[in-house]
Amino acid sequence: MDRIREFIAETGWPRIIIALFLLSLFLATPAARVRLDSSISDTLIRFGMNGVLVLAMVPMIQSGCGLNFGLPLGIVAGLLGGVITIEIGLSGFVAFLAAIAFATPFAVVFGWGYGRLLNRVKGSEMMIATYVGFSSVAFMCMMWLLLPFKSPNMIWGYGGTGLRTTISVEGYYLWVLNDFLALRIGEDLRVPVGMFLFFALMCLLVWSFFRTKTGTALTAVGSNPEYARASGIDVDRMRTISVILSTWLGAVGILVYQQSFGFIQLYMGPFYMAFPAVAAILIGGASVHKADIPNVLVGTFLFQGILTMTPSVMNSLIQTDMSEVIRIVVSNGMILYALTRKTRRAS
Amino acid sequence: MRRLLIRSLTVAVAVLLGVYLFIFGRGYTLILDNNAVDLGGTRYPAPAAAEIVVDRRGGIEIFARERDTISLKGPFHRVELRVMDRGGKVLSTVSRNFTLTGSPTHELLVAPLAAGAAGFIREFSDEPLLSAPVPAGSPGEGPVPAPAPAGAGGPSPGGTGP
Amino acid sequence: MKNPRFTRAGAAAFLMDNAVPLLFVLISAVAIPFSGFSAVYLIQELLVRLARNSFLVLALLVPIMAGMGLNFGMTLGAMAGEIGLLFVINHHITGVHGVALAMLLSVPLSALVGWLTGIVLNKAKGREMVTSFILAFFANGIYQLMVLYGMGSIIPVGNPALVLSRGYGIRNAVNLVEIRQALDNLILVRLGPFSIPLVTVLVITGMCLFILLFRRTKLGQDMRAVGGDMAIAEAAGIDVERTRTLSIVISTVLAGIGMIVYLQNVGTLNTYNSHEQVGMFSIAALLVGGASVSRAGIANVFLGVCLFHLMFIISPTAGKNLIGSAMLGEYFRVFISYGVISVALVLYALRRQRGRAGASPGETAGGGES
Repeated sequence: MDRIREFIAETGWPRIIIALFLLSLFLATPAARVRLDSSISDTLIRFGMNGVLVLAMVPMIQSGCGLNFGLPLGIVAGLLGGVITIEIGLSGFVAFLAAIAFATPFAVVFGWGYGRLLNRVKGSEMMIATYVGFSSVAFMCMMWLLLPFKSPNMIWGYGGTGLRTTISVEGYYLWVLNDFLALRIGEDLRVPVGMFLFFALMCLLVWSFFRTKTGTALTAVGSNPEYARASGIDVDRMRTISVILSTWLGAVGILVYQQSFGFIQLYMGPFYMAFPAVAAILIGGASVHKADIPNVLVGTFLFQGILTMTPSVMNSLIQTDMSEVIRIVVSNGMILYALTRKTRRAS
Repeated sequence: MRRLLIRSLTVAVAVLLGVYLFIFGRGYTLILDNNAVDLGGTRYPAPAAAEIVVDRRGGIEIFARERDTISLKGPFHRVELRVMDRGGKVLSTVSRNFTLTGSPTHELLVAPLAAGAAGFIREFSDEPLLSAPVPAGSPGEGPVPAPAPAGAGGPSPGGTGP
Repeated sequence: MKNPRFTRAGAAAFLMDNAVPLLFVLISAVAIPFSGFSAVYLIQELLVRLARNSFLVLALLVPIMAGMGLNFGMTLGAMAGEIGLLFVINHHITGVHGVALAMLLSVPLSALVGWLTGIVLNKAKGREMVTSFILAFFANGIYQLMVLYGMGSIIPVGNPALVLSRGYGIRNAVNLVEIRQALDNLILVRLGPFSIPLVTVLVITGMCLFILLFRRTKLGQDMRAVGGDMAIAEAAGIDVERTRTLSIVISTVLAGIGMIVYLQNVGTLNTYNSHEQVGMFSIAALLVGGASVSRAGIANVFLGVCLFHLMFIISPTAGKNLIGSAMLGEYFRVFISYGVISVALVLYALRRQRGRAGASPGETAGGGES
């Protein structure tokens, strides 16, 4: 009994409710005449698609910079990488790797500037992160119109200038991860093994990074900055590193997402993309100050599960599509819950 | 104690104000109908022509078999009806007060009003005005009836929200 | 002793403090000739925007006074105002009666919602702005639950013109023809080529007076104390939590009324979009007017509305004539709006850092503002 109570106290009611809700949706599939295997398959695919974006939250949370609402900055770096790859005309796996390669310098530069900014505004990181994210997306809106791209697959038709809003990656790097070593179980259950392998690789990368000396220093900065400074750690430098890492993971994350989704979304597409990632990691058990890999895995699965299952199941059951509203309430409610919890450490 | 009193008073005033605004701000569409009507067992013929003035707002000419609309606000109104013949000569004048409550669409039936009967205002419904059709050639047939009044036009159909 | 304002240092300080509005004036001055609009047109448009938006922006002043920062939760008040309007439209209440009734109905709803907001914000001390920001999104979800699913099904709606074709849920765009400009047109004053909605102006003026007088009341003084330093205010015996909550309640109520003023001028209710935009634009306008997260006055409100909406009006055409793309002008405006808020937030954070480094009781209990 006590163990259960402890479990509830640690996990928190919102997470339990969300998990039970998702379970009930899965259980309701036969009643809703929705196929369970395709539901699981869809959920898993979305899990893989979004995983790295959620993973991008971890470095900044660990270093005490809070929830990375400025993820769009990293996403934009990824977009630049993708668009350059298409301009050059690469395809296949090489294209995907090239996109990451092109995105990396942008991510590092953006992350470095972003990190320096956050270091000057300690205590107000989250609000400023949000608006830095917004401003950068708005700024890029102008850039997408002005930058000298020429590939006919990307530009407005009839001799227009500037990039289109949505660019298909078909023929470039569509499904390169998904199809890599894909497993087929039965008719409808396709497991995109390649994508999961890549996601696992990224998680391994992050996990091992935090085992290095820099990584441990970073965590120290997040959990106890005074102690870290007293131990001789350069707090600002660690924070900047965490921001660069988060930004880079955001760039890689959007590329993973695109290869599965099939399209590059420019202009206002990335505007709100930080929020699902933030909600997901919070659902997975993270707090504003602490996050680890299991949080990423659990949270992404639960969150994407709900996003996948509510439209199909609820539509059939109550003849209404409430999925959008549920998404808004669940994700923002989760973030609110995390923001209003008492912080353990003194400021 | 005093604070409780002031607060209760404020709430009471607000509620009264709200009720007042609701009742007196309510908009109604009044359909002016000059057709022959069966009302309370009597058949009232429609005058050949009439001029209607509601709340002193300018005369609306309405011939037999015609309908028109007017927008009104609030519950209390006054109508002045001038019954005329085809030539425009005023035969008689009827003035009545009437009250509007409930449904946003009401009709004012000229025929009974011209005869001075009560019940000339009622909520709009789809029931036919006559229990039996009017035989051809009976008095009250005027020129071809005007098209039905436009109801409240709706805004463009919405998709789903967000 | 020289007047400090006329010294070099004084001029530099003036530029620094008012960087944002000056920047906007500069950009506008450059862009106006390219936009091709006449002065008369611009002035009339600005008059309309002032009458439409000022009340909403004024609603932001009280929480800033109480140290709660930018009240992104004003969106919730706007939603309450919209619900009041939906009721009024549903029952065909026309004209000024409709506007007044909508305002009257919005007050208790706004007060309740504002009180809840205050409770949530008090649980997130030090993170008020992010929390109110997210709260606005969350509330939007609840609002949609009510308006898109509840109304017409659980909540009876008598007026078929309001309902979606599927049978329940309010339409995307509700025509407010019955109350359109009811407040504005009550007394319309013509001054040369300009028409001024006198009653609206009087309402706004009344609001300004209220704010000025409020500062002198006990509650107003309490709020300023809490805004200055929560610890000292607490020591002085002020109920800090209650004062903070009250500031949010007042702000939300005013936002509800302001939203109705806004909508009666616009004439159409975008049921699912209006309130979000309104929150962002009001905050941006206030900041453009030279306000900061910790200090804002009535002058900032009017200056900000003028400059911000001026940019709004001239961006598309100026962009088209200057660079060849109206789209670019639009995006430029969007970028500037968000950029301005970013700059204001950064400046505020920097100033707070400096204050904290200067040690002493200049510390708000609960630490940083995230």
